[in-house]
Amino acid sequence: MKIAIIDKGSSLPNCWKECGASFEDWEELKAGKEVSVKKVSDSIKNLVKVKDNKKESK
Amino acid sequence: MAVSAKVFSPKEWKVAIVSDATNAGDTGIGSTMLQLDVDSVGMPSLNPNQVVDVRSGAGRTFKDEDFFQDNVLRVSEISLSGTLHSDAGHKQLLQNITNNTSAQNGIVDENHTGTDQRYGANVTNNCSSLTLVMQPSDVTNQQGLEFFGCVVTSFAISADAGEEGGRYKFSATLQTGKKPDLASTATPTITAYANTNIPKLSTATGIRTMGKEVVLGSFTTTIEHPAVFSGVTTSGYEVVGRGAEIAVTTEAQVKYDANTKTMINDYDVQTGANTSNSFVIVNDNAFGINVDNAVYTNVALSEGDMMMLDVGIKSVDNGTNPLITVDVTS
Repeated sequence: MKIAIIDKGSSLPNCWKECGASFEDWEELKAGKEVSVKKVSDSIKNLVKVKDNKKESK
Repeated sequence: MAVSAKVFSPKEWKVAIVSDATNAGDTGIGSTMLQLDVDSVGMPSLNPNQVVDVRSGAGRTFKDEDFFQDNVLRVSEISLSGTLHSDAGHKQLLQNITNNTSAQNGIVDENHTGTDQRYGANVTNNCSSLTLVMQPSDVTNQQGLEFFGCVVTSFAISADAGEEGGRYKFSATLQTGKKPDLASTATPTITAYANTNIPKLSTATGIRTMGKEVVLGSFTTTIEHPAVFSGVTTSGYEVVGRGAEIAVTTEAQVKYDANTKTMINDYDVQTGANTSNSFVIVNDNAFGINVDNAVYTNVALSEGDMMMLDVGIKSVDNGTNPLITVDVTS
């Protein structure tokens, strides 16, 4: 799934490993970019928004 | 008794630990113990209570009736230092001071309190109470030292890019309020450490200090949580708790450059904690370090072959993020 930070000014904890992402991905997330993660840990649930996976039309 | 010709090298002792089955139980030594890679086997501080003062009486000599010694209500302390390994034994030192179970990272969570334990009760988790042995090679001609119910009061991880290939070192202090067995002839099974799991700086990435991308020379990160002992039993103190603060501090030496040039002034004018990447070394399952929030405690120029900066920081609890996360899971 893809996530993005809600407020770039918020203090996002460094739980990249818990979420199945890399440190580099996490830096991009903090900078406001969307990144792919395997899960959203409880500690960041209120700090990020999960982007819906849109199914491709056949 | 004839004179013994037997000679021992100081290297003929091992240090090994195991999680206690019950707090301060000596049952742990019956199971497989885990060897720690220590530089040397130093003498623990036994700290028996001893009175050898002159009291009133004839003459000015210390009388035999005035001697007093107690070896029950005392705190024994063991200091260790050596090479760090990413294995169960070395991780257990970290997991004891952070009070994490063995399956977790070494995390000091926000609002961390530690665990209080009554000696003899069931352990809080599988690393909350440790037995440490200084095991001799030959129990016929030597005697082992066994310390039950130990808690780790200080654990430091360090590495220097210019020494020993940047391999990680550790130092730890353990204390116990239980009376140790200093005449052990037990022969526990001890699993040796391996030379294939030593964390190294060369596998580290994403190095940050106070939010800045730095060229790291060396670092030492220390977790300290004093133990307090109270209560009385015939085999030592009854309860071991933790002191008022678990503190996480880091001393790093980084290259002075365009990225770090503001640190001296940042230290001088800081009014609160840095809130992102205060100290990060990404090292997967190899004691990688992550500190989100911290304040400077020192910044100083350090003259060497090139100009470096000594940077001291102390982790801060913002109520949300851990004080530190140490990566010891794959």
